[in-house]
Amino acid sequence: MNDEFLTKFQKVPRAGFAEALYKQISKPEVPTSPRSFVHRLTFRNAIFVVLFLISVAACLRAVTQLWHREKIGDIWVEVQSGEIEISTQEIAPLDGVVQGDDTLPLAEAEETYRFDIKVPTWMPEGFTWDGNATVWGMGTGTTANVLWDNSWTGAGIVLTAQSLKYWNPAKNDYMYKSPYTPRVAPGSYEEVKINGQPAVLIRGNWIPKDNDFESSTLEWDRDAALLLCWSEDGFLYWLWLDGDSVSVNDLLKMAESAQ
Amino acid sequence: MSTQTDTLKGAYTLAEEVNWEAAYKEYLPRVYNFFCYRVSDEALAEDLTAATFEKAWRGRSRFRRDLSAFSTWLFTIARNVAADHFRRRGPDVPLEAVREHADPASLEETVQRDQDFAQLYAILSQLPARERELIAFKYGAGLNNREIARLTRLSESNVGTILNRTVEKLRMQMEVDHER
Repeated sequence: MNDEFLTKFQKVPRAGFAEALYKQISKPEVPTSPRSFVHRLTFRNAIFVVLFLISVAACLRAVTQLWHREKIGDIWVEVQSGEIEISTQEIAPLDGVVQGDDTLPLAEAEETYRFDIKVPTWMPEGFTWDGNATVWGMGTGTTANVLWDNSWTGAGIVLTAQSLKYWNPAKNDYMYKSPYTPRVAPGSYEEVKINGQPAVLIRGNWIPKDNDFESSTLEWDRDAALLLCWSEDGFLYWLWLDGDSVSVNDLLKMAESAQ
Repeated sequence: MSTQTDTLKGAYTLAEEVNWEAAYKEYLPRVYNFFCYRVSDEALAEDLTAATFEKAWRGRSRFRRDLSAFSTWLFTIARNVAADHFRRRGPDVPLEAVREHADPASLEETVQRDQDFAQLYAILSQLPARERELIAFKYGAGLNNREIARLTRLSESNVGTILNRTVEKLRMQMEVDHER
């Protein structure tokens, strides 16, 4: 190929230019500065950052779904996924605090244990109440159970009233305590209203896994119970029954009739 | 330069080190002439050469000897720098070649050569971009047809054919211009 006329035009770069460029490119690199992050914020890097944040959020969501607390009105619920392990622990009584397990007429129980609870005046058809209350103080407050039972079906509705304060004779004063926080499965609870006040309706209860009553492992059974929980005047009220023989509406009506 | 070799080599993490000092000495004139054939303006050619080596230095950790020869890698960067330049500036316009610094040749020879190059560049600028680029790779950068083929993704025989045709076109046009 007759191309000599093209090869004669090659030039030698200026010595000053060559030296200056070599110095420029061989300078030690400057550590990353805050500005360089902006320069590296390419579209691809931004996509990676977004995906990473989404992954972190998904992990956090998964963790919170295993366990978290939620407040409905004045009531905290612990939401627990999966199974739970239970352990029995005997609470040591405080000196001088009323304790025991008495079944008394309600008025007598209230006078003896210094509490005043509200009891439903309406009950579903077939249920009766004998006027008694079973009361016990476990050193940290008074709990009273009032039972309505249906002798025909064998079902029972229980009102459990747990005082949020208790009288300590040793200190000659009322003591306050944190209310019991129910542990429930995800999706088993919802907020309802009782006389315009927030309450928690829980469907189900923890039962021994595989119906093994020797087991300490419990699993949630949505049909095992129906519970209504609210707080009023220093008491945490539970209106509950095993199974689902009473409708939610009847349970709500019963709760709203308490006085 | 030798005092900065440690700085250059010390920054290296490749299993097979490239001798950057030697590479710079060998390829600086070739990259520079590649750009001279592409843009004709020497100051601009220096700028584009500097941009090429700065990119190469910054991206040195990405050079894979098992994937390409150093010249292919370096001139790929140079080719992209040229493409960026033309995208920003538009089609280049033939300029009179101006030498600000005399080379070792005599002044008369320098002037003559500059005039000849200006004429060549004026003809080159009329050619399609691919042919201008092949001429720059061949006669500016001093690459062989195989290396040009790797860079341009053309076959080696295709590169040879295009170059033959283009060189003949240039030679004929330059002879016609001389006779005027």
